[in-house]
Amino acid sequence: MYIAFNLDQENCPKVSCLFERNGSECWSQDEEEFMEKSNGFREWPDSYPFSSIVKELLDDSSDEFIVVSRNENLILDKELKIRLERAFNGLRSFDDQWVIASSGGLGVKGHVYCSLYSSKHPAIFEHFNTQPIVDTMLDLYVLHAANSRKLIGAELLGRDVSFELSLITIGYTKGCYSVYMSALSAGVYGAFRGRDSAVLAEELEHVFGQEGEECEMDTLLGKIVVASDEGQTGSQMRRGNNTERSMKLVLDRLVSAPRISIVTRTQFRRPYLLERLLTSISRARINDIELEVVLSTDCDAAEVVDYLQGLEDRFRGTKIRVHYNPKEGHSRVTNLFGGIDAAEGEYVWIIDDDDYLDVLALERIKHVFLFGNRPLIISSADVLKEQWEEIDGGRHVLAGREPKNTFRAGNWKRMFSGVNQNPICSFIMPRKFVQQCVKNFDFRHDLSEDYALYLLLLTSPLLPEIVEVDEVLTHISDRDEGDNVVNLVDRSPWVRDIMGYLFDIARKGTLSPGQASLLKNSSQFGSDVVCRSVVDDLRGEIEKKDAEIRNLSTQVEALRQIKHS
Amino acid sequence: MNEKRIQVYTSCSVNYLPKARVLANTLKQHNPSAKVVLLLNDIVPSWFDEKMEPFDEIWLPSDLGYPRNWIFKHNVMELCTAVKGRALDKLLERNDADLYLYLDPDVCVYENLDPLYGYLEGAQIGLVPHMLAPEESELGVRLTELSVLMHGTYNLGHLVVRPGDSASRFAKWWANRLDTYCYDDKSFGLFTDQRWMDLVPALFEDVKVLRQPNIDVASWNLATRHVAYADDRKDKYTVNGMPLLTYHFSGTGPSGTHRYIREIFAFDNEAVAEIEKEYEALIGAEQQEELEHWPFGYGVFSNGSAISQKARELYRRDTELQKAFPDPFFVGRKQGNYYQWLKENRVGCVDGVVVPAKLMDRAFSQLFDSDFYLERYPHVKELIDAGSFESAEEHYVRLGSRLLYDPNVFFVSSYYYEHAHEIGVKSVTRGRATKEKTLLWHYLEQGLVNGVEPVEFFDSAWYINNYKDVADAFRTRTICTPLEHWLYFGASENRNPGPDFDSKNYLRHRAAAQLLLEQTAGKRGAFEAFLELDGVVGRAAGY
Repeated sequence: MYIAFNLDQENCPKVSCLFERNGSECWSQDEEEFMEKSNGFREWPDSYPFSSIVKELLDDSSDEFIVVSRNENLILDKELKIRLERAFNGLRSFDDQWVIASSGGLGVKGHVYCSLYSSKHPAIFEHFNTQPIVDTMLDLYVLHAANSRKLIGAELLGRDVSFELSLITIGYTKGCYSVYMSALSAGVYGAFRGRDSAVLAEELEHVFGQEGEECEMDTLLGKIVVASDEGQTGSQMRRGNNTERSMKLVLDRLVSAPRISIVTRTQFRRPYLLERLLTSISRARINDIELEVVLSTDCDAAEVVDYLQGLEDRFRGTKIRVHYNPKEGHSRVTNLFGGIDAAEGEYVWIIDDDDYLDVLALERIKHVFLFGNRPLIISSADVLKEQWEEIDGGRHVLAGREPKNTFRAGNWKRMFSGVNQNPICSFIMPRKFVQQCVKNFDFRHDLSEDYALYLLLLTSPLLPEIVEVDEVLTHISDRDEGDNVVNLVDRSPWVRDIMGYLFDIARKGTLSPGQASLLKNSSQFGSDVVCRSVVDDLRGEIEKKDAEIRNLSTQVEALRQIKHS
Repeated sequence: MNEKRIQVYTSCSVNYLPKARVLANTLKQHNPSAKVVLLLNDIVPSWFDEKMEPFDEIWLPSDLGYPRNWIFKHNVMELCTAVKGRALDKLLERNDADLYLYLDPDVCVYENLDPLYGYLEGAQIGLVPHMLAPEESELGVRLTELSVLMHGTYNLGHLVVRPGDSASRFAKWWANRLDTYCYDDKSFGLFTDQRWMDLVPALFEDVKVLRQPNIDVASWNLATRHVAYADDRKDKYTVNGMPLLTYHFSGTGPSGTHRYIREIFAFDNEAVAEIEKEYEALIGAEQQEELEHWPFGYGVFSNGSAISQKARELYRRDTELQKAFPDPFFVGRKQGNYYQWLKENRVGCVDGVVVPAKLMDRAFSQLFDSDFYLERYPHVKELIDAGSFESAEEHYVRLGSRLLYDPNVFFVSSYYYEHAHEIGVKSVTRGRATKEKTLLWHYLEQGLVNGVEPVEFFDSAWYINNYKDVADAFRTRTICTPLEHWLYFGASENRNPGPDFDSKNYLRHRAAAQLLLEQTAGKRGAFEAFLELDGVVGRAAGY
């Protein structure tokens, strides 16, 4: 049966609840506490269509929100009421254009979000940020009453299995979005509420199959093909496309993106590649995201001043700043952190001068910044094997290019294996977070500085939510020419520096015992050859120190003898 | 100097409408008095409102006197180019402009076009070459020069005509040729309206080759032209120091070709990137996203079934069919229509073969013949031995498919690539090289269902319908594709690959073939002998 009531009007004014329950005769202590101060109780039998109940509720009240649960096993307790109050405050901070806010759903890019804990299917949610959804779980969600009233038409009545999915889809076409909110977390004593996929498909066909050709709809049950009526082929626009486009328009409105600083370490030794990068940045830029490029270098300013002047004239679409770092210590580290410190953007994105941005890169990340979300973004990057030819007195032409491999965004999860899994350009990082993480760490080696940085970020207690963008945002150039350190066969300097960094990180104590143990056990640098090389280096150091000690001992002994004599 | 009276015309189907709108808008921005005629070669959609469009006139093929059976013979690209000749003739007869321009719908105008009149230097016909300077890299030769050789010296995205006797004679000749021979049939020496233009400097007086670099800037000539911002304004551009007049955005849209080529030939030029970006924004504002996949109205029979290229070719080559079915689009309830005739006589032209998704990997493996591949491309074995690739299949996936290497003896990659352009084959040459981005996979996924085959004379639907054992094997999933049967059994059993090749007849009349088969002790069949002795399109004899 379904029951509805006005929730505690003192603390939650203008909110109704509509819950599926297994009878109303006997409430538990927890349930009583949840319903304390509630009034206006109504009941409907199971046989009554759910969609009609919602319609009645909407028609009969002037509520702001309706909290719905279609799972009789949802745990109602006073804690839930407190969380709901918080969620209502969050929802009031949105604009008035949403229709469903849910405790679980399917994201626009196929992620499943869930903040419910079911005793039958225990899993712990990891998504804290509010996200747009295209389908919802039925266990607990909130309806925006005014928008629902506008959107629920006759075509949804009696469509009880597809009701929420249809409402969300129609919402997007009318400019309304739906979201997942972790604040709506709750417990379910038993299983989640399921849906019959065959009935769902049939209902969707009734709601959406009236026009256009066959289309696919993304649902929590997988893709569902919605067939068309006959005789419509070619006479209408593709409905699937329309929905997608409407959704994009709605979501574009909600983007509040930060300014991003692209930090590029360069020595200006390969200007044709640097200019390719700058061209790609200019091409990829979009109105929603403000960009700046910080060229971070330890070159002598006088050597490049003429070149930079010409660069400004040819790159009018991009804001470029040059930051000169002192020519001392480790060049890679100096230019990396010098550039980050000089950056003014809320985010930093390190793209070295021989790599370049995909034309759709910024378009692909802008929706990460919906609702003011500020996560750590990890993206995919591909490696392109390139051959360049020099012609006509120094002009370079691309003579060959073929894809080699792709570093997937999800690789970061293997980062504690002792080997870096993502190139430096795959992380797009909140700048202050990075600065906070590295401020007390001495980057006293040069190579593998990216790996050390990643480990510091990923083990930081300040780590924001991680969003994987599993689309290629950056292209990495792999060339056989001598200026491409990525290709150097001898990796022992890298391995040596990794070991140094790992030692320092472990000593610093940012790794948990588990992480430290994982690193120790699964380190990939244990091959005999590499170990021997490292040990040889250390042995050489020891011998030098021994010689110094012997020398000093001799001097001490000599001084002693002089003293005694 | 008085402003010239300019008459522009362009030709497209509905999916190019956003681009044609941008052409008209940008033209009128710089030449406010210019007139634009749109040749709309499509079924006019119900939402289309002529009054809301930026064109002065809109002509349908019927306005130029073309009947439906003539339209049927052409695919979308052929149709949009075939109407250009008659349209020019009709415009010239009006004699109400100083300059007549054909501009492709994906051309954008950046400055007043009056200088074109001067570029003619008194000539009446101005042809715009694809290239003005030799390519400097091997990649440039392969991507551009070889392609220009095949598609024609002059780009027919631009045609500049001043009224006069030569121009009128030229227009009538061109219209006449296009009426009958405007096909994308490179094996026959044709590439739509464009290859014809190679003859024009020899056939007509008053022809001028326009070598100005600031017109028809396009992906194929970016490497040899220097595009830059103008000194004064960011939204103005120069080409080799001259003001940019027109840019031809060929390949802008779903295929991504323009971006791909720009990243190779203008990789470090922000001005070109900006031009591309601005243009994408302009067409975006004219419903590009909504209309770029709009189905071609003349791409289907009246019952909604897609018209395959084979069905068109068959119709245009057979005058008896043309007589029997004067409206080949029409599918009535009764017998006696072209669609029904195809169902009964050329089933491969109307019903494609579908490989279930779960069988794709198996189908791929079955059609990739490692032994054949290594024998045909011996250097691949060296690469495998050197550790560059693990297997022949890996080589094919990562490299071979893009080099148009053949994965088995009956898969002529160059032939397939050429014939599958209408079903998006270019997409497999972009992005990361994976199995799903090979020509073989494309054939399994798209070619089969659309009736596009990888070798001349083979017809999967016909094959499956004519050999019951093949149909049974396909139904029970013993084989994944008809080609698989043909590869392993059918060819050596001297079955026929399709309705147009009779294996027994071939052997009967080709003694050398009989001898060849005797030497191979029945391991090869008549068709393989035919491939070796006589060759097919895309693979010469003896190769």
